[in-house]
Amino acid sequence: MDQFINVTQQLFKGFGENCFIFAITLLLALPLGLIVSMGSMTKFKPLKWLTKTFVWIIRGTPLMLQLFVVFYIPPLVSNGSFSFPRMQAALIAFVINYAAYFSEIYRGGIESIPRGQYEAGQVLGMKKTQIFFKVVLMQVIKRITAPIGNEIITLVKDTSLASVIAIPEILMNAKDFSMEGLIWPLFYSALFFLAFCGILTLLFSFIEKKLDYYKG
Amino acid sequence: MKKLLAAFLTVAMAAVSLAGCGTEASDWDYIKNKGELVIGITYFEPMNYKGDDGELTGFETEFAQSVCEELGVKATFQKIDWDSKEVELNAKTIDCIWNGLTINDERKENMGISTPYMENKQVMVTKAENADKYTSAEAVKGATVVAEKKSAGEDVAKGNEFFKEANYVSVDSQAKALLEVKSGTADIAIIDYVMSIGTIANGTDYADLKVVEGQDFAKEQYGIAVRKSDTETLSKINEAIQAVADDGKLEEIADKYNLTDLLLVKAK
Amino acid sequence: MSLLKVENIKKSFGKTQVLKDISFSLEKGEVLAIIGSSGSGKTTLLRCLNFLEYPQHGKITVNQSVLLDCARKSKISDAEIRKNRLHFGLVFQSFNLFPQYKVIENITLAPKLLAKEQIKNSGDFCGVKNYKEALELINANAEKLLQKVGLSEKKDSYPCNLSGGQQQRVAIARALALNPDVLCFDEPTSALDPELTGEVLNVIRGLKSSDSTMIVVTHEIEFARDVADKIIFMADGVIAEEGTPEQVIGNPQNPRTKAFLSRFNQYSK
Repeated sequence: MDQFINVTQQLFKGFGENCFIFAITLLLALPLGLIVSMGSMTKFKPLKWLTKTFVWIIRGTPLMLQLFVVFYIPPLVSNGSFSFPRMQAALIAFVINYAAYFSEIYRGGIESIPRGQYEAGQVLGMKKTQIFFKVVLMQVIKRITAPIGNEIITLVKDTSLASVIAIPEILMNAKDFSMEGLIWPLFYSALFFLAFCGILTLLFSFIEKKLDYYKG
Repeated sequence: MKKLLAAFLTVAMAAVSLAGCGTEASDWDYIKNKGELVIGITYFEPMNYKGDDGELTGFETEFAQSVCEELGVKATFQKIDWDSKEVELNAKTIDCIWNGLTINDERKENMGISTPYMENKQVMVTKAENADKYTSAEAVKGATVVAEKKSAGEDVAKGNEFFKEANYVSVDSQAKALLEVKSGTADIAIIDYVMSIGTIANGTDYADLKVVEGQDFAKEQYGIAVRKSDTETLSKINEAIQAVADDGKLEEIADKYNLTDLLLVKAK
Repeated sequence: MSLLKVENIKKSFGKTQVLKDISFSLEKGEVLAIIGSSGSGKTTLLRCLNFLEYPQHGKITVNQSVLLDCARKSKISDAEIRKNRLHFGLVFQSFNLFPQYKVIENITLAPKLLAKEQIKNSGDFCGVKNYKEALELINANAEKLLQKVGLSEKKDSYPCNLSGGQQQRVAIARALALNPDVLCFDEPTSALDPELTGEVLNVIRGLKSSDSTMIVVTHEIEFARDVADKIIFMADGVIAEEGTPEQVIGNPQNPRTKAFLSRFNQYSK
């Protein structure tokens, strides 16, 4: 029983790190993704090209490698005189990675809005920003709720990858127990993820229902 | 995958360090000025692990603390991913690896290695009921043997005549190797003796596993690794190890963890 | 003096010239119907008037103020374009209502934004000095417009719960809310089931009696004859024939107009 409590405590402590990465990543990557998506839709060719390349690189390489690059490359290049703290490095990698994925979801959502919606706003004398925020955005949000929800649930599990730069997250703690001869904490840790993803699933079906007051 | 990445980064680092040589404070001054020696560890009993009180403890932990005391710097323990240990070292995110690191030629080539302070060997772990069975090459014929990839255990499983007729499977950690045996997907795990002391003791999930008596392989030695260029730090550490041995502290710590027999550094 | 004067509009998309020198004028309170086969440039002409497209050549004047003159090389600013657009309203073939807003909100959204902006900039919106009063004005006007199109009881519905005809009537009310000088209709009944076209056409008829100036691009020849003061028949980017309904529909001179109308008569008989 003592052992169970100890394991639970340790796993909770680890899961706290996962939740922290999760929260900060969402908080920063959701708006950053919007900026990136603007870049990939701009008519200014060099910026568009640059953004597309960025998204290609980020989506085209493993998040694990990105974690390595953010954490190890600065100290290797500066011979140890500059490095991000581990958690900061993890957050930078996660935010950039998820912003790239979110930006593509936003882009898909924004481009799926019929041109007539923009034109209706234009002939009513609305400004570009007004059309975006007052007319298009809500419709985009409704359309991207499902794919964003999907991505967010993937993020919950991806936070475990932070262990490659030795963030003591839940899976790493669970593995440590197996080094001490306890196997079950590894499987027990699954419950934490399942519970968290379960809550998120409920939350998203609630949001989708909320947004269901209109069709189109 | 992770090892591949680590290798890639090490190469990148080498290229960069060639370009970036300059006059700097000596390697020991770098550590002394920081006031701390950052020690890269992973958790495994009985070397470095969280005790019942949640504090880091273990043979290596206490040993390192004593040595750092001798050196006049603070011992800061940083948990790392074992696959990335060389990169961590070269990126200066840690200053040494002190975690039952087996000395071999490849590591001597790439890192500065201290005086060997402890002996280790590879042993076979099986289910308790089979412990008397696997005592000859004949007996392990056809059995499934697991070991950690790129470990001393793997060298034994692949190279030793004893296992010539056995089927070898590699896994990514020693703990996984034990899990394979426990779950019956493998018959024999070849792991560090030191590791087996902590992990298959009574009260753990592996209490039904047992070390096969009288069959030792690949005796090896443990050392502390520092950056190849940190020669001054290395000699300081070596001196401090001897000093800790001389005043009896090292033996005292080893006693506490039942490791006295394996100790290589004796008081002068 | 004409309310609207369009002179020598030319518009090409790439190498295809869609409008080849279009000129016409419209008096206040007049209804102009533009007919012609698809691809003749009718819709593009309307889009040019609403500044959704920019002609390469030509001049547009409303109430003696020049909104567009391609001869002047200076670029028009976004703010100026927005101001110009307010002289025109446009009702789309596919309604383009904002699905997330209630009917009443669809109508009040643009006026509210405009009121906020004008009060901030000049302290005045239609003679009202603060936003709260402006809001009352806008809401009252919206209710009045809904009554005009016969949808008062639907003001809190969402567009998805309305029939096509009802949606188009809301779109008309929305366009009227900004009180444009000229209201344009781009085939307002083409996306509707036949039994729903009547209600929309009746609303447009009603607007004629309240003295609105309108341009209607339509395939409803009977409706055009009935409502329009003036009809333009377009073919291949030019005005092939122009005149009163009696002239253009009753007694067409141009062989292309004749061919077009005879095709229609075939169907309607």
